Amino acid sequence: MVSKSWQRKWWLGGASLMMLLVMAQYGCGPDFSPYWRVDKLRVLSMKADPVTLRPGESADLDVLVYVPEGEEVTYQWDWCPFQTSADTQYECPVSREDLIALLRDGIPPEDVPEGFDVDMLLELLVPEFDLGTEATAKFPYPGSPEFILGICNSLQLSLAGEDNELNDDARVSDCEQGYEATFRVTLTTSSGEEFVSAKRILLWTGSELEDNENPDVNGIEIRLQNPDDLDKVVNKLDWIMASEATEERWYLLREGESTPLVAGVPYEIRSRVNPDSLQMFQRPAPVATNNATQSEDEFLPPEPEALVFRWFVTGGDLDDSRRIWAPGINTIEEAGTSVFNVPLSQDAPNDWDQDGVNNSDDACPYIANGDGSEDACTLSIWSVVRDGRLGVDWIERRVEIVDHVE
Amino acid sequence: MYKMMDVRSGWSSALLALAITLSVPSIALAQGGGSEDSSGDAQKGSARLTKPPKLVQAAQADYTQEAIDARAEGPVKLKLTISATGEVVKVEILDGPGYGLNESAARAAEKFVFEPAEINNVPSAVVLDFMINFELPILPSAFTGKIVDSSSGDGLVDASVTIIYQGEGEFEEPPSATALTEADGSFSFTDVPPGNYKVILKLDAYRDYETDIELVPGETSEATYKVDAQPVNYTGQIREAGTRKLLPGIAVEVTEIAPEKPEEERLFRQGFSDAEGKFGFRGLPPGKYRVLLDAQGYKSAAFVEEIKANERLAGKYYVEAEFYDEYTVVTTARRERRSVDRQTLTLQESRRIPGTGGDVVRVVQNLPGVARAPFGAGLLVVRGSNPQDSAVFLEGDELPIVYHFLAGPAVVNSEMIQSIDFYPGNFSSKYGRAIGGVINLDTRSPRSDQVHGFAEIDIQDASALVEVPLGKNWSFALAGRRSYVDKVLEFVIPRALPDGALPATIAPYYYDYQSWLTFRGFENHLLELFVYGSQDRLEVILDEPQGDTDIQITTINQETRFHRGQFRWEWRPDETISNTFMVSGGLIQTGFDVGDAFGFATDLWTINVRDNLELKPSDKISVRMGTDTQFTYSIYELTIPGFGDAGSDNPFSAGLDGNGGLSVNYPAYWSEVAIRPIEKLELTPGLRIDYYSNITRATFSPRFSTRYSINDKVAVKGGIGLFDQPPNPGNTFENFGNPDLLSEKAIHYAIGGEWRPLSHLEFNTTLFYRDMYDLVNGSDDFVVDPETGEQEFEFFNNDGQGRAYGAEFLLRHYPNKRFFGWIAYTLSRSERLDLETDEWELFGFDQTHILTMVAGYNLPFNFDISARFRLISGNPYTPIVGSVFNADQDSYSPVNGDPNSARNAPFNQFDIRVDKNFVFNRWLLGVYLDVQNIYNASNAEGVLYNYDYTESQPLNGLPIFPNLGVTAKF
Repeated sequence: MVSKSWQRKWWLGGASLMMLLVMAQYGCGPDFSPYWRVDKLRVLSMKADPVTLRPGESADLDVLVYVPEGEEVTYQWDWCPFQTSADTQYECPVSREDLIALLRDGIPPEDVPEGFDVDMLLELLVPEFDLGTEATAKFPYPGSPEFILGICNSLQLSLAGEDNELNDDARVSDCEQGYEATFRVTLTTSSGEEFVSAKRILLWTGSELEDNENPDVNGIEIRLQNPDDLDKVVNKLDWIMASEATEERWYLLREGESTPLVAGVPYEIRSRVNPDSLQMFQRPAPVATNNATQSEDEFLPPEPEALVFRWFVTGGDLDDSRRIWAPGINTIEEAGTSVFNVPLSQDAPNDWDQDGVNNSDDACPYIANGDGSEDACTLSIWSVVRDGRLGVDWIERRVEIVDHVE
Repeated sequence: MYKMMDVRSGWSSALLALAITLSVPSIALAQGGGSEDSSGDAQKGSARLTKPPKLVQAAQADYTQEAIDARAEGPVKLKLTISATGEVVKVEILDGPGYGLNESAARAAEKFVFEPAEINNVPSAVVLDFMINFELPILPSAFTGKIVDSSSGDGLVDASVTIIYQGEGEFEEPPSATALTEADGSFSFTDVPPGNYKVILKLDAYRDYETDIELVPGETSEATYKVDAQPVNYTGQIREAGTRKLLPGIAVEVTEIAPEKPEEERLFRQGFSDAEGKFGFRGLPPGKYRVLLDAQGYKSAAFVEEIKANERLAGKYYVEAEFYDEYTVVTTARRERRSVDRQTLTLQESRRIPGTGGDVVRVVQNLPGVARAPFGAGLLVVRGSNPQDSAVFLEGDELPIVYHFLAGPAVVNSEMIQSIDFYPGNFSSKYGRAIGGVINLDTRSPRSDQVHGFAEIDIQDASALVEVPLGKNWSFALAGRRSYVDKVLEFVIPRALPDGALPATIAPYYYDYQSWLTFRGFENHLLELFVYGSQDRLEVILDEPQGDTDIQITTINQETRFHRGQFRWEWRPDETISNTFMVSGGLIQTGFDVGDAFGFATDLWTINVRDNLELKPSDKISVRMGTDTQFTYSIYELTIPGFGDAGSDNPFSAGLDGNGGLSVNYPAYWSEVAIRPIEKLELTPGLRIDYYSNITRATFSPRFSTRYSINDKVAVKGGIGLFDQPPNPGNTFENFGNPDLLSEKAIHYAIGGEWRPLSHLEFNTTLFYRDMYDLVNGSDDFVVDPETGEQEFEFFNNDGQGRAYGAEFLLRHYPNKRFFGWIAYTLSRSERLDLETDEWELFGFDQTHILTMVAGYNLPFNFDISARFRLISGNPYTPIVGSVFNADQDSYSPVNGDPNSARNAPFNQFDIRVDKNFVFNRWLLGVYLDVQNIYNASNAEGVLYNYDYTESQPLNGLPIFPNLGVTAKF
């Protein structure tokens, strides 16, 4: 059913979308640094391994951070048994003590082992929220699936109350499919500036579905975008002939060392994902609306998971820094490919990177760094791949701009 | 009346003055004491009369009224005894006609003084006979008559009637006189010397006529003359150049071109065009003539025509108006004000307002109480209400959508809109299902005089209209419009942007159509059939799939279209009763899809039935009542993929899939009574009863308004009323809505005044307060069903509250003497209750100050200029005070500050529009340049942030934007 006012909303939504598209098309966009350009302290990704945590397991929590030279940061890891909100900077709405108090009435006395009281049991079952201050952290499965289900169900009942102070921050729904907790890392610079990042992790509660796993990104490949540029670089890149020798001309960027590149030539870079890490999964059957027939099956047929490829670089330009791979729409090779280039400004032949330092005085005249003395010709390239089901993986490689072509 | 002689006043005394004659000498010597016959004896004896008496001082003998009445005249014979000193010492009446004349003569004679008679050269007393003759004057005649057309019998005005005396010898020069006939053809002559006369009649376009008549003294002669018209040998019809409008009352002067003649002798005729613009002249002699057409508001036009013998000349003439505000063709009289708040716009002042694209409906956005819509969007934010809280009606039938997208025009062609009534609040019980404001568009009937057409092309769309009379009682019109933004983008983008710079193909377009069929064949009845519709469609084809792992977007299609028909029957037998019945219906289709994964489509069938009855049993009371019922049936299809993870907070994390149908009916009854207990006071209580089937609730909305006219120029007004609207049926679904919702409500309070110092100048002010409650509020809370005890997602509740208050001022110069304009200022505040903090926060469209100035002027040479200036507070927005990184979404989430605690910079914009009309005899060509934001002000419509919200800059609205358009009209 739709009413006229509802239609107006759709209409207005469409009009707004149109307006934004038109503005974008006429180049009205702001002059902000793009998302993919890493030029300051940033968290690029977070990962939990495994993605779905089973009883007895611990998850390795990791964060991909770019810390500029000279900057020092400290880490603070913590977790929260709820899905927390960005509005509160992912602050857990309750303390561990509050949570224990909240759960106290939900545990039947017969479930309390002999020799324990409820409080002692909860003290054991509920991990400390503070997960440490290292660059990585570990998160153990809290208690048992029954305990997690108990938390989930108690929370649901509690949230249904009108005056519950958690109402606006905590969310739960289908406890049978798992229970999502949040872990958070707070980076603090020497100046006291804080950077908060968060990620969810799924606590297994008995679902019979296959657990999700992180995708596996095992390399970044590179080749000339335009084979005609080969003559320009053949004498400048030691790897180019090896690349050209392969059928598809791809060359795997070196691990642990920089791969040389020349400026002024566009390259295609491709994220290499281990096909074995790609999974099939099942979505829950959609909820039927008024007159539709609700599917008897709880889940839809298995389907391959999709991936989102995200690229980051510390210099140069990227096209298509974010691409989606979904079966039937494109190939994983297409989606994992971007174009990387270090352009040379034709408008400023004496200062290609237009950083105000003459090429002759610039230690790296190809990449703007504002400081001619700094050797910044080594760039980092990251490929971050997400599966949209809390799974993620990344890889970092380095390239060095060693020369240029006119 | 023509007076031939000046004798009537005091005619009797004049006649008497010299009516004295001496008798034949008959003198007797006084000392002789002789008889009448002794005179002869004395002359014969020794006493010899050596000198007769000589009258040296006469006295006037007055004519008596008795004698006059009796028409008595004749001599009075007297015997006078004159002393030796010449005095009359004795008067004897010898004979006379009587009637007091004898005595009158005697009295006069007593006053005579004579030079004494001498006898034997010695002054001596004598006796003599004396006769005073009384003669009645010659009485004047009168002559009246009438000159009529011999065939029609109609009196002929300005005919020349000349009479010439035909007697001989009585006057040195025969008297004559001339008179012109009055409007009824009559003429009159008075005080005409009696006698025989020749009568000569002359009149342009009629044959000369001569006859004789005898005028009897003291009598009035009457005559009617029938004269024969000369044949019409020159006719013409006058129209307004460009519009072909028939022009009545145009002065037509025909002057003979004859240089050889003195100017005063050249033939000159004058006439006026009739209601059909026609004129005619009879009997113009062959020759060349200068024809001059002249009327107020039009440029004088001169032509040279040649009349040939035995030929009839028929001409068609077009005169150019002094200025072409082509939309003055259609105006509506300012209607009696009933509502507390109503502004009526006419085409005359609406079409040329810059920035509206010539769209009269959009002009409403420039009136007090209406907030500025960002990016020129077609939103109606009226007195702090949500855009969807206001309704737009077309002849009482609610429009599914009002404006096309892309800040486009209204979906109904402005050419056919007669007037717009805008009610920012406190509207009549006639209107319902809205808690904001109401706009009602009245369309006009297709013109029935001749074929008319209109076409317009600008950079955005093209439209056309044709109006066709179909016989005596029927008329028809058809209009259409189609945008070509899609074609323009297809042409412009590859040239404006480098290859691949735009990662999408965008194809937006819209069209609309309307047709009218009017029947006037029955007295007091008007039947109209109106069919209309529109479509807005946006297609976006993305080069690169967008979205996320749950939804991959390769195409975006959004479409809204409707087709509706409306039948209206107006019955107005007299002033005391009228009834309008309207039934309308149609299909509204809405669709939105993002590739194959996400889709939503509805078919909404609606039937609206309205009947408005107005009874006016006396001047003091007027009763209005009616029904307003809406039946809807909708069919929908819905596909929403699952997104988010299992166990996430999204109630639709598994997605939605389905289709269905839903019937919703909204019957309503309304009535109101306008009471005038005294002439200057009007009280209008009203009541509206609505039933909303989707929530199975009835509502009662009492309303009251009043108006008191202090004098002809000043009035105060006020109103209070309850207004409500049903929740969106989509919000009341069992599965993903809340069927227990209530209707949304608002109480409108308003008080104000009007002052009209001049007929075309008005100052209007209103203070308003609006209390909104039971507003439907999106909820992400879980609630426990009291019946089942199960926890369920609430989706929506009625916890929303709002309030708005402020003052509105409008100084309006209605179109007059080439100028129109207004200054509108609104000072207001609109707030919503923050349900989390229980504090009032600013409404997203709150604009504290809204100043809009609009003016238009008709310049010479068919140039028109109009301008609009706006200075308006910026919209509030919620500042972003930080951000956190959401690793699962690979994006930053903002940390919001206090809701709507910051404002965009004030908006200021100056728009100018210049129209130039090229006037041809049969059509008008118009060219306009409408430049918005002429000084290219940077107006923030929002804030743009970088990816992690650490940098921001204003999102500016429209830069300078010229729009060139061409119109043609016939």
